[in-house]
Amino acid sequence: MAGISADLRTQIHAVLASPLDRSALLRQMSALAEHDAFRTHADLWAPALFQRAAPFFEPFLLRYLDARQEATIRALLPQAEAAGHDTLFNGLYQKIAREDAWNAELLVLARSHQTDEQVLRAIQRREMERSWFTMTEVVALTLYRRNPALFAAFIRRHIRHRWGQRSQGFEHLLQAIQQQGDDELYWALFRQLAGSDEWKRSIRQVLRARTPASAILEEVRRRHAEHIWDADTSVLIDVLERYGIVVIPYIEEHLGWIAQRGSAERLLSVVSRLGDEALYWRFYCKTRDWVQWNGTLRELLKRPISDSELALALEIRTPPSGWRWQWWRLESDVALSFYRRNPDLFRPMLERFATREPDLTLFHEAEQRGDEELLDTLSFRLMEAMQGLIYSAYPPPSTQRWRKPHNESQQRLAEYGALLTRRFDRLYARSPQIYLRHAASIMSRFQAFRVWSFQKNLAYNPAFRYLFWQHRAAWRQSSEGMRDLLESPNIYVQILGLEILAEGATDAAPRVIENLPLLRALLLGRAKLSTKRKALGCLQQAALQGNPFASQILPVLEEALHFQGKRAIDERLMVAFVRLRKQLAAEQNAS
Amino acid sequence: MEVALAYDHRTSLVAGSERAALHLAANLRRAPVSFQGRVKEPLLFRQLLTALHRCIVSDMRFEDEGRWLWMLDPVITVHHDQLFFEAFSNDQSSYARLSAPLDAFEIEGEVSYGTTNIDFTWELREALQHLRSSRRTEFRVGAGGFGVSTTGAGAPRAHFERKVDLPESWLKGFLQVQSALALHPFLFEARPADMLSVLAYMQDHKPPTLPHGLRYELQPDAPISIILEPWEQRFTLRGTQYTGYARRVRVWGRRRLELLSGVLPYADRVTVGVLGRGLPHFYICHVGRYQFVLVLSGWTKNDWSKDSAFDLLAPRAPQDVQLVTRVYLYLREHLAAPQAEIAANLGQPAKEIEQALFQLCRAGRAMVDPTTGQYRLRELFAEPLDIEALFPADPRLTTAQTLFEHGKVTLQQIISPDQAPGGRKELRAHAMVHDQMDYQVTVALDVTERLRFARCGCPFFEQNLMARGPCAHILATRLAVEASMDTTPGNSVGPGALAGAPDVSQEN
Repeated sequence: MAGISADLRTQIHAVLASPLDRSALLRQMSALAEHDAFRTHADLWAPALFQRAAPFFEPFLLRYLDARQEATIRALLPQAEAAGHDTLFNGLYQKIAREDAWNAELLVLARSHQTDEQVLRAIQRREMERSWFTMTEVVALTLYRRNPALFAAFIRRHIRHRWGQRSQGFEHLLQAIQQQGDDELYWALFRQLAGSDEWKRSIRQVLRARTPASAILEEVRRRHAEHIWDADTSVLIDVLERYGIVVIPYIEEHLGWIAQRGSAERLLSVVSRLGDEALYWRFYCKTRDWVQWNGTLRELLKRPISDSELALALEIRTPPSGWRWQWWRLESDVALSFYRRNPDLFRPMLERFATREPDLTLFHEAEQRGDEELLDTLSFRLMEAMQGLIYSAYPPPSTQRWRKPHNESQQRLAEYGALLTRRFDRLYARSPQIYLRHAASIMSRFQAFRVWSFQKNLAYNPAFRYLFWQHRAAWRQSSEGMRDLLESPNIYVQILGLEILAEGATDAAPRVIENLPLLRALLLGRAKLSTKRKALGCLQQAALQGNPFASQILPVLEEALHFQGKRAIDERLMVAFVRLRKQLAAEQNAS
Repeated sequence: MEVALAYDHRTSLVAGSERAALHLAANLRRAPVSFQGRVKEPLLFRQLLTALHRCIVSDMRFEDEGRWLWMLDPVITVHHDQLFFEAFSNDQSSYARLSAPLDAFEIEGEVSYGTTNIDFTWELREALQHLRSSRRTEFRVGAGGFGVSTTGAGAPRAHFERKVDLPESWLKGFLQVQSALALHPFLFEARPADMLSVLAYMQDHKPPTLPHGLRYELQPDAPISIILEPWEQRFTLRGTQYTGYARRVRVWGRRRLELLSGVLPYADRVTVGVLGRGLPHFYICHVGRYQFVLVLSGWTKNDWSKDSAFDLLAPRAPQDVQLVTRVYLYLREHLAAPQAEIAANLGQPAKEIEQALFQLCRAGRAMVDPTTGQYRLRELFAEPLDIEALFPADPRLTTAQTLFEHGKVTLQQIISPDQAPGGRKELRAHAMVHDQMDYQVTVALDVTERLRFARCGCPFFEQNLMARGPCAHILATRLAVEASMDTTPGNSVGPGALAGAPDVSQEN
C-alpha cells in the first residue's frame, strides 16, 4: 500500500513538473485524482496548482481538498485572501471552519482597526452556508455597534435558530437594534429566535394595543415565529374572533399549526360565525379526518333538498385534490346513498372517493343498473386490491418459513376473481367490441410501475390471467383496443399488446402499421432488450404480410438501427433490416 | 417580484372509456385567454405535455435550497396560428417551449388570443397518462364560465389564489435563457436516434472524472460530431455536413438532455442550436405537427442571471426607447412577424430592429422561433417589468469605457471576415489592454456584431471564462475595434495574417 502511495506521489510530482498547458495539466490531475490516496498528497499538488493558476484550478481544489487536509488548507488560506481569490477562500474556509473558531475570528475582525468596508469584505469571505453555524451575541453586537447599516444583512443571515436557544440570549442585541429603530432586522431576528411564550406575549400585546384592522395582518405576520411547533395557538383564535375575515389569509397559511392541540373545534366555531360557507368547509377539510367527514355527509343526505341542491352542498364540502386527502374515502353506506340518489351526478365523487377500497356492495348495485363505466373503475380497484392479496395468499417461497399462506386472502382472491371474470364473460357475450372497450378501459388505468409483479399476477390473479390470455384474436381486430394497450404508460400492458400482435399474422399487420410511431419509440427508448425484441418481432411479422406493410416498416428499422447503447438490439435489427430490404428489392424486380 | 395567480377551478383531466377532457385553468388576474378544440394526436400531445411538466419540476441542484418551491405557473400563448406553452425549471437551468399549430386541433368555439398562466398541477402528470389516441380528447384553456363543467358534483373545483414571490435570479434566468434564442445560434439538423444514443451513453455510464462537458466538433466538409467528456466518446451525427471553418464548441448542462428522453423517440428530427462555448444550447424536436424546444443554460442557479451577460454579448446599438415601443406596437397589432418585415414596415435599419426585438425578448414581451426567424408578441407578465431595475447597467461596461477612453487598449491586429465560401464570417481582433497589468485579449464579432468568442488573460476571465459574460477588457477591446472600424476602415488586414497567433476556433 505504501508502495502504491509513493508511486502516486512520484507520478503527481512528474505531472506537475512536466511542461503541460493548464488544460492538459487539469486532465492529468483529474486522472490521478481517481486514486484513493490522491487526497493524502494534497501538500504536494494543492500549493502547486494554486501557484500555477488559482482561479483556473479553483473547482479542482475545492473538489479534492477536504477537512482531512486541514494543514494544507490552512497554508493556502492566507495566500488566497491576500490574492483576492474570494470564492476559493470561502470554499476552503468552509471546509475546515468550526463554529467557535469562526465566531472568534469574526470577533477579532469586528474589533480590528481596519476600515468598515475591509472588515465587511473579510467577514463576507467567511460567509458560512452551514445552517447549524450561528453567530454569538457578542460578535453580532460588536459588528452591529461598529456600523449598523453595513453589517445588518450579515448579522441577519448568521443568527439562526437553535433548539433550546431563547431570544433572551440575544436581548442586548435586540435592544440595540430597537434603539437604532431598525424594525426590519428586529422582527427578522424575533422570528428566528422567539420561543412560544415570547411569541404569545407579543401577539397578546397586539391585541391589547387595539391595533387597527388595516394593520393587524402585517402585525401578526411580522411576529410569526418560524421555529415553534407546539405553541398554544388559542391566542390567534382570539385575534380571529376580534378581527374576523382580515386575518384569514394568515390563519389559512398556518392552519395546520393553529389547529393543533384541540384548537380545531373552537377555530371552526369562530369561522362558522364569519358566515363564509366555502371558507368554513375549506377549514373543515384541513382540520378534520375522513370519518368525521363521512358523518357530515350522512347528515347532509338526510336533508330534504333536491339533487342539484345536494350537488351544490356536496361540492363545497369536497376537499380539493392533494396528498393530504389521498386516503379519504366514502364509507360504503354513504357511497351507496349518493349512488342511489343520482348515479350520473355523483359519479365523479364516487370515482374519486368510493373506490379506494374494494366495495362489493357498490359493485353489485352498479351491476344491477348496468353501469359499466363505474364498474370499470370498481373492477380496476378490485384488481389493484388483488395484487396486494396475492402476497399474503401466496407468500414467496423464501418467506414461507415464517409466513403461512393466508386462507382468507386466497378466498378473497377467488371471490374477486370470479366476480370480475363473470363480468368479462358477460361483456364478451354482449359483443367482443364491448368487452374490448371495457377491458382496455380497465387496463388503461394502470399507471407506470403499478403492476407489482407481472408473473405473480399471471399465476394467481384470475382477472389478470383472463385479460392476458383470453380473446386475443378479438384484440387484434380492434384498432382502438390495440392502441389503448400499446399507449399505456405501463410497460406490462404494453407487453400484453406486443404479445397479442406477435401471435397474429395478417390480422396483426394493420395494427402494427397503425402503431408504428409507438413501436419506433419502444425501439429507440429505454425499454428492456426483451421488450425491444418483442417489438421487433411484431414489425418483422407484419412486414412479411406484404410490401405495403414492409415499405412503411423499413424506415423505422433504419432509424432504430442507428441507436447505440446497452439497450440497442442493433444486430437483430440489422438482420431484420437487410432481410426486409431484400424482400422489397425482390418484389420490385419481380414486378 | 410578486406575481398574483388566481384560478376559479383546478386544472382537471376527466377520462372515460370513450372521451377525455383536459381543461387547463387560466389565471384570472390576466386578460382572458380561451381556446377549445379536439386534439388530433392525443398520444403526441400527452408525451409533449408530460415532457413540459418534467421540465417544470426538474431540479438537478445538489443542495436543497428552495428545491420544492414551485415557481411561476407555466404560460400559454394563443395566437392566430399557434399555441405555445412555456416554462422555466425550478433550478433556473432549463427553458421549455411546446408549440402546437392550430391545425393540431379541431377548433370548437371562439378563440381569444393572448398570454396567461395556467394551473399546471403536480397531479397533472399522472392524469395525462390517461390520454389515448383511441378516445376523443377535448382540450380547453380558460377561466370559469368557459364551457360547461364536465366534472359534475364532488369534483375538486374551488376558487384559489396564490402569490408567488419570484426570486430575482429565477426571473432573470428565465428572461435571459429564453432570449438566448434571439442570439442567432448556429443551427443544424440531427437524427433523433443519434441524440438518443448520446443520452443512452450518459445514462449507462457514470463519468469517472472531470470534465463533464459535451463538445460539438465542427470540422469543414465533415459530419458534425458530439464528444462526451471525459470518455471522449464520439457520436457522429448522420446527415450533417459542416461547411464553415473549424470550431469546437463546449457546452454544459448535458444531464438535462434527459428531459428530452420522452420526446426524442417520437421526434422526426431535431434542430440543434449552439451559441458558443459555455453559452446556452438548445434542441428543437420536431414531433409531427408539434415542436418542443428545450434551452439549456448549462448552469444550475444560472450564473447568467447574476449579471446582464447577454446584453454584453448582443450587438451594441444605441438604446432607442421609442423604437422599442414602435416595434412592440407593431407586434401587438400583427402578433407575429419576421424581423425583415418589421424593419421594412417601420423603415428602420435591420440592426436597430434586431436590437429592439432582443430588448423585447429579454423583457419577456416577445419570443422568437429561431428556425423561422419569426418574432411573436408574448407578455410573460400582466404588467411590463422594470427592466432598468432588473438589469442595471453592468459595471464592466463602465470600466471598459474608462479603459478605452484612457487609451489603455492597444489594437494589435484586426482581421476582416473571410469572404470565401466556408470562411470565417467574423471579424477578429487582437489587443493588449493595460489594467494594472497587461492582458492579451482576443475578440471575434460575427456578422451581426454579436460577440461570438473572446479570450483574455485576466483573473475574471480565468475564473469564469465566458460563463458570466465577457470581462471589462474584452468589452474595452470591442469598443476599440468599433471605434477603429468607424474611423479608419483601412485599418483591417486580410485573412491569414494571424500566423502564429492563438487559434481562436478552439473554443474549449
